[in-house]
Amino acid sequence: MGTPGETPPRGRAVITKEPIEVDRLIMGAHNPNSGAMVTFLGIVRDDGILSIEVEAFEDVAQRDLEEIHELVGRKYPVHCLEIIHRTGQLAIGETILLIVVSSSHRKEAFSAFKEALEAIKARAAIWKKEYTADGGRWIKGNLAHEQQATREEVDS
Amino acid sequence: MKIRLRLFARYRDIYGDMKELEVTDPCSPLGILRLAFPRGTEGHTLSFDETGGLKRHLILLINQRRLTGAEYETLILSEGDELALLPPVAGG
Repeated sequence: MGTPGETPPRGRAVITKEPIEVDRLIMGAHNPNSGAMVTFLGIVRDDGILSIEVEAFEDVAQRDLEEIHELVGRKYPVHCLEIIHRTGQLAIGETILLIVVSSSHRKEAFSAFKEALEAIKARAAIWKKEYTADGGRWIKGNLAHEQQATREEVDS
Repeated sequence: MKIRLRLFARYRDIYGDMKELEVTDPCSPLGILRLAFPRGTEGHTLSFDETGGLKRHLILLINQRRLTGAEYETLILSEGDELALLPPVAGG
């Protein structure tokens, strides 16, 4: 496999309340033809917070992740692409997001990873709230996603 | 006619995750939001700018389909439709 869009990559796009099985998913992304694997973990950082809540419009967010998976899988010659996003109440150190990309070479693995991550941040129907001893505050979202941008995405 | 309004993040904190609205006349998505969040409410401040227009970073969906900006005023809702209001997303 070397041509974009030739075969859909292995792997899934999933939004889940369950803890992400990081090791299993990374091991599963190995492929004899893969010379590069990019793995990314988004982790709850200790910014003086107690925990974080990840909320999603679940059906829509699931579809968003699947569309991103399909788009990236079609654009880049990747062997495996895993996109797993947690929801619910998460403690410091827990994994919010896992992206794993395996491909023949590092260049397309990094490019595919970056595009998947940026697309998730730009449009997946997901929100995060940080809890501190003083209460909760919603993390500022993506203000660039304006109505015009939505129209262009829908039309494309 | 009943329209359900799904809310998320800060809106959910204030109003709960679902608001059911009863409308008698044909109504657009924007009309529903004006009904749900009258002037002087926190929802109005969050949703509308000083000219009375919807803030540009908000996204609307009907029955889980993202609407174009043009549809916000032109689409007419039907009985049982679910309108969703998405504040700026922050996944990842």
